[in-house]
Amino acid sequence: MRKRLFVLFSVLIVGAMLLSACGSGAVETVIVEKEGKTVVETVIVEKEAEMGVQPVTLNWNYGTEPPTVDPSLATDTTSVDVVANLFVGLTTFDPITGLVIPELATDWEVGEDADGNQTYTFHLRDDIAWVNYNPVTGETTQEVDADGNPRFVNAHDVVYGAQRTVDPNTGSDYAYVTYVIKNALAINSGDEELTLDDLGVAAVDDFTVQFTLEYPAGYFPAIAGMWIVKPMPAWTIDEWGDKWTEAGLIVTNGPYVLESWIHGGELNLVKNPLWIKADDVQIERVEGLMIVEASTAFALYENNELDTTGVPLPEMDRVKADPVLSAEYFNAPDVCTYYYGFTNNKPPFDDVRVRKAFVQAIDRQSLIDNVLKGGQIPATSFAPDGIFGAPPQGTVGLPSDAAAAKASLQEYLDEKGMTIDDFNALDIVLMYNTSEGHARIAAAIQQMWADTLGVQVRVENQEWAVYLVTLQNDTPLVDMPHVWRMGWCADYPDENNWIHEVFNADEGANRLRRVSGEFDALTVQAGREPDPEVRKELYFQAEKILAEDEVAYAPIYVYTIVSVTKPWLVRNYPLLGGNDFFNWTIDMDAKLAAQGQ
Amino acid sequence: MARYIIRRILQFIPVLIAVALFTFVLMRAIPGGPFDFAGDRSLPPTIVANLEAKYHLDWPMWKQFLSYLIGDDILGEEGGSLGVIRGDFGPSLHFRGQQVSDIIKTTLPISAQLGFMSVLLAVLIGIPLGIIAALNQNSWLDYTSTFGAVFFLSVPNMVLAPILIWIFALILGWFPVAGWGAKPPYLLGFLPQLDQLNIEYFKNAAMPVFALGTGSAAIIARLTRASLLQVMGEDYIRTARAKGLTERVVIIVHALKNSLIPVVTILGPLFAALVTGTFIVEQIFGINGMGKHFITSVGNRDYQVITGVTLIYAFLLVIANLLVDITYAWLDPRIRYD
Repeated sequence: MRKRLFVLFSVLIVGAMLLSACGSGAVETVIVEKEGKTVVETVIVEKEAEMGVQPVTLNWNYGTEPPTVDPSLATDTTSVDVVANLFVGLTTFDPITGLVIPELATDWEVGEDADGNQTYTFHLRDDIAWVNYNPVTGETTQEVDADGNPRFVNAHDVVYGAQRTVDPNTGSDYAYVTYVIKNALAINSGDEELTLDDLGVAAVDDFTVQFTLEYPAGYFPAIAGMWIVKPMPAWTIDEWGDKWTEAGLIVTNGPYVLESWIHGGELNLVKNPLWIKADDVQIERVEGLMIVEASTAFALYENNELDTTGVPLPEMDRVKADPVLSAEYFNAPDVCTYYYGFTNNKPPFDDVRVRKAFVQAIDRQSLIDNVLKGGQIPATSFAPDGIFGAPPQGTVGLPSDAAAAKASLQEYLDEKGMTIDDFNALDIVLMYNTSEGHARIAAAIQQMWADTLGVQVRVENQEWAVYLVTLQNDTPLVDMPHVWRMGWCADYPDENNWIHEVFNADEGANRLRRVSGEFDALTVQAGREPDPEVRKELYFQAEKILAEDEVAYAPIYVYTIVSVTKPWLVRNYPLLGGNDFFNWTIDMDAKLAAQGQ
Repeated sequence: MARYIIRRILQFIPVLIAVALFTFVLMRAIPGGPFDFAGDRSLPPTIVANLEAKYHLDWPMWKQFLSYLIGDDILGEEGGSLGVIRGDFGPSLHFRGQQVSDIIKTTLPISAQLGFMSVLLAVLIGIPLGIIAALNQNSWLDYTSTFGAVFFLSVPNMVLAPILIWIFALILGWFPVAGWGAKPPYLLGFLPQLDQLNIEYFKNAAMPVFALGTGSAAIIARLTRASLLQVMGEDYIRTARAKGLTERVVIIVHALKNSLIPVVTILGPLFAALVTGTFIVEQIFGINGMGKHFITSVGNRDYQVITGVTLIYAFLLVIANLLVDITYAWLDPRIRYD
């Protein structure tokens, strides 16, 4: 008997699977009136459009589970995207020009405190509500304080947010960006003589907040727009601890609220009706999936289940050839630069002529056309357009030039009395972190170097975390590859975040292992300089020295965001990256029509 | 029998502790820690120190392990860990603010549903196919089913899954491209809620179950065929036939049961592997199962998640193997455990 039941059960399951394959309608149990009798019938019904008004919904793919939506802890683009849609910052960035513009702060002024430290005083608007979404009732309500007064974002929330990020117990990865604030480094390093109150941030009154800096920083308004110093709700974080970012508990102040979050599965946002510019937010609901596989996301897009998505490399040729998909295709520059670093103190790359030869032998355009295929922009210097102080595209750096490359290497060989075989005997290693994309690029560039210079380079790869350990600047020189792949994306749109933090031999990461010199003094000076025009000029000089005189690294290309977008979605591509859903619009009628509803 | 089972269960404890210890040590032996980098950048030493202190990675290894195993209060240390023995797998180091137990609670049920249906499909296809092939040895039925088995065995899921999506979701539109019908909270902690257990649920499941199940079905079919052929040559089958039993009774009562022993042997590990999730099928079909955590947590150096999911896998494996051993006794009366 039991066996029979088992068989029956199994047949039912398989039967259901087969049945499901037979029709696109849904099986539903309905109660119908038949000849005066009420009977229950199972029928297959074609799904009719439910006549209720569909909220304007964006179907989005985050591509991965955001590791956090806590502003103090976010480090990756996915988390930062969600944070940007949930929380306001003191400042923000104009999507088109990339310049710092007011958000929570209406205006700000630079000053000096009694000790001569630079201060930034921000005046805040007083009408941004702290809100909480209740998943049971589906309502968004304003928070109230202990006395029953509605809570608006104020200067104390900004102070709390900054203090929380700097607090070593928070464990914020990005706390180092705040080290420009007075005492931040000391407090974050666990200096026991200082408390969080010694941090250089204070509420002058309820709607004025003042930051005191460790040293003058012309780029501070850009840092003030970053997620780590956004105002945060102390009372909620105190009450719930690490769990405060879960749906239902989280208290936010931005254009959207967190409706639900199934970790690893989906994260949905709904419009915040109490948002100051709620009338300008057209998309009422963002249904976000976490599909990792790019080809699956693309299939969902083709099936009208996603409104926009990235284009996987294997689909690129088809997309460009297809009349419909090619019209939906767009590539927008991203604020990230792909480069090959040279280990500047490892022979033969301790000689500028060798580095120059390796840079000029890279045919960037050919790499982009034949390998990358996403309309990337050849880079000859480090910071791309949109970063304050970045040199205009193509004005700085060495262009691809096979003849010059050859000559440069020959000059080196002649002086050393070497042949090309002697040079190849040095066993030059090009290393990248394991990935199909990096492998293709490395293979192409390896070939370019072989064809143009006649040098044979050995290509190696390592898993990401191991790779980063290898590239640390205390790795023994013998274990360091001669040439290595790396990329950089903007944290905040200022050259200080680029050539200074990455390449400065005294204060930056300096994986290039350069010796400090004119360049390093320039970027330090530029960071402290108050006059924007002077800063620009200093950074221009610095970029020029690094790319043309020292040829310390090989800039290769500026990333692009390669995507397809359905015709009913109007989206922007902010100059500084990110996805601000509140600026997008959807023609819901067209979308429903395409979905056959 | 009962004593045997109890003894076996007691043996699980050192096995699981050893698994935890190996995973724990191996992960920490790999260069690079969970907090050395954020995205494309290395983090300054101060920041790394803060994070390591927060998660007690600055403790000596033995203390970290004991804290993980038995908890901080027993160890007499400050810290919130209750230890694996009390079901606390610790916090994830990558998904900040999430507990590993919560990650498992969300993802394991989905993997288990998918895995269970796949094993079921594998058995339902594999065993009959193997029997048919064996009973019709060297006929077209045998060749066809062997061809089918070899085919599905050789096509990796990485290839099969996208093809299924392309044909059945994009061209024919029978099944959804990706996703899974059940969402937390689950019924009894691991089953889909009844209102989610509808036709859409099975539509979502159809392709991943097929992709996962057919490969295993092929293994089972080949094993069943080989084993049945061998059993059919045994003396006791000749005896059964000599007694004048019909061929049907000979096969069903005498041959089949014995021939299933090798099949049952592989079903144990197969069950444990499929139920804890498979990386490729879950990734391609966008299913929020536990399979991804076996792979991505290594890249993230998310020590707690790796150890947690490995322990769950090890636990299911030892349980499945115990069930296999118990089934032996039922399949073959000569096997006794007392």
